Amino acid sequence: MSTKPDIPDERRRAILAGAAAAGVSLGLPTGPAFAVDGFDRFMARSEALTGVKPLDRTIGRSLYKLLNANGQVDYLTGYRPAGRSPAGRNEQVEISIISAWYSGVVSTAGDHRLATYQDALMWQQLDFTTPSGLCGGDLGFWSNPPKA
Amino acid sequence: MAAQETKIVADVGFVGSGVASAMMANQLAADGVRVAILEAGPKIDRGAALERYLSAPIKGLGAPYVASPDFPFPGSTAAEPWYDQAGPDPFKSTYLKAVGGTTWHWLGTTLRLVPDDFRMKTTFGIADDWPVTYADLEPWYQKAEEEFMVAGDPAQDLGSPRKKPYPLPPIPLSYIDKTFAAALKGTEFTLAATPQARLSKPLGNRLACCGSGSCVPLCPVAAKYDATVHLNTAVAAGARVVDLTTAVAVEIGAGQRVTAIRFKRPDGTDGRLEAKVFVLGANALEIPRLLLASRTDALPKGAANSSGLVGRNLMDHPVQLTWALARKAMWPYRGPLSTSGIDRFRRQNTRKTDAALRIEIFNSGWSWPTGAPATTAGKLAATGLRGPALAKAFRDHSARQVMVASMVEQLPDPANRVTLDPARRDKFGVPKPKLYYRVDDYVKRGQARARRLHAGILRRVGVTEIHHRDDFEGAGHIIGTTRMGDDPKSSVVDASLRSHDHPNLFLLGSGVFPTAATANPTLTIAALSLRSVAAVRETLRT
Repeated sequence: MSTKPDIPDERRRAILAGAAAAGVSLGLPTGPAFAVDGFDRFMARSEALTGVKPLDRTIGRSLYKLLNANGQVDYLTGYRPAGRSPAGRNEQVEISIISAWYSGVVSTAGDHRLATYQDALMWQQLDFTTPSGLCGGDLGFWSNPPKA
Repeated sequence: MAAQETKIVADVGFVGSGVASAMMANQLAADGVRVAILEAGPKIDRGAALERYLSAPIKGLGAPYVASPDFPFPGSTAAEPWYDQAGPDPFKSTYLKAVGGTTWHWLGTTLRLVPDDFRMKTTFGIADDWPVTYADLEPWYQKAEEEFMVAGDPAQDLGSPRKKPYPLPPIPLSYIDKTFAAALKGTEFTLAATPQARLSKPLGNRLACCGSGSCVPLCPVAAKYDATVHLNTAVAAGARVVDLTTAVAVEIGAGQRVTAIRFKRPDGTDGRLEAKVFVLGANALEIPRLLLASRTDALPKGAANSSGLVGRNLMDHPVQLTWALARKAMWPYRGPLSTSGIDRFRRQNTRKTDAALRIEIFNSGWSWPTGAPATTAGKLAATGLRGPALAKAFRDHSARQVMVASMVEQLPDPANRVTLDPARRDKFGVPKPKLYYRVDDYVKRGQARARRLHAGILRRVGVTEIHHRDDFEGAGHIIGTTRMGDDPKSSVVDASLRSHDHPNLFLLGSGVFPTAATANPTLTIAALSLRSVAAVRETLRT
């Protein structure tokens, strides 16, 4: 389960910035995991993992929310916390983040939630075609290799 | 209010609004025959269906369609499976309840059977002959192709001799097809364009195929035929399609004539469809289910079932999937899902021991076997790839994904059947289907042969890895449960699709096929429906 307080990211960032400036403690967990805003950290990690930069922040918010709902927040915000991560969990989280960006869907134990379809990275990266369900072009375009 | 009618009167009353009914109803309505069609499912708005598809997390067969216990079908009820699978193997093919039926998510392939398919007993000493021959059906195949506006290449010999060209020029082969054909030139694997009910030219308000890559489960532009084409013309000629109305029993009266179809609606209302002639076109699971559920003290085995064969000889075309990674880019995920096939194994002389099969070349990458491209990045990431190397590998890998599949002939076996499950009923009180299904050694040898053939093809094309599905897949082809024949003791309907038991009852669809052959069944369904129009007309006059 998440230990993150239920505070919107923007609001929390402001609080943290203010807290740092004032040098006061809000009772939040301290240390590297929470020194930087969770969403920004998520986006940075996502760009590093997916190999695509910049990633869309609106889609990122949806994915971040869905991934957090899966109870993975500790691993997203406190990425690779030293000594606290069971073996293999970081890798699983990385694969979850990559899968979510490429497919546009967050899947956990048979539960599938869609953040985006047409703008999923799979279609952006498969620049030789269009998302399944949308017209790809005139009759017969599929007969030849895609135009470079 | 029409939806509350308790009595519907017509000359010809249909149950089911799929392609089998639509083809026949359109012909009758054009002649001024009063036609009413009961459909359990709802009307489908294509735009809304596309929206549902695009917003669905999983793009399965049902993704574009409304599912409800008000019109249950396989996969529509998450809480409980529609089928009770009582046999050693699961029956994997499904259907849809909607105005237009399962043609909403068919592939669109319109192969004819080959002549030997009608003479399995005579030619090979196995299974059964049909009560019609290829020559009997040839003009009706042509007529059906014209109704479908089939796009095909008349220069190619698919083993089904034709007298006239296809109505439309062929759908262009894919780059994958052309690459395969070049690699296979001079081998036993002769690749041919697949005839298909997919527009290669615009027609009315339907566009030519725009390669959406989503034929199954939805064509966004109606380039792929669906039965609403003929339902719409039938309605324009005066036919009625009554949706959200489920047939629950066939009433039999004096002289073994059908007097009415009883129906119920989700809102609790019910009523009767009265007509002179009744036609069931509700697929090869729902037709036997309705007939069996219509049993009375006078007909303890159910309607149309003096032979005891209603529901028996259930068949599919068990599919062998093989997918591979080509050495060079093949550019899949473009165009119709499949545009070519290899047809020679459909008509070999060794069918006594070797199941016939048809090999299809797919343009849809690894989507069927693996869920690609949505699953590809996760699988590559699991090999340790990250960052730009992952992005590059994703594109490279996806561009090289190819798949071939074989539909294997399954022989009729009376033990394979649909019966009623009295312990489980739908909201209308009708027992749900209970299935017993087993894939025998004939099919299993065919699957093994398909794997060998697939590997031979793919090695010639040039691949770095080959994967075979270790079990069969369903083709979506439900066949054999109301078989036709000349002898009332060994068949349910005669060659005109008329019930041996009830002179004013006709059963349409692939349930009447005595054997499964290896063609996707829809063209033969349509040809048989069109051929039977004359018998229905004649029955109206008596």
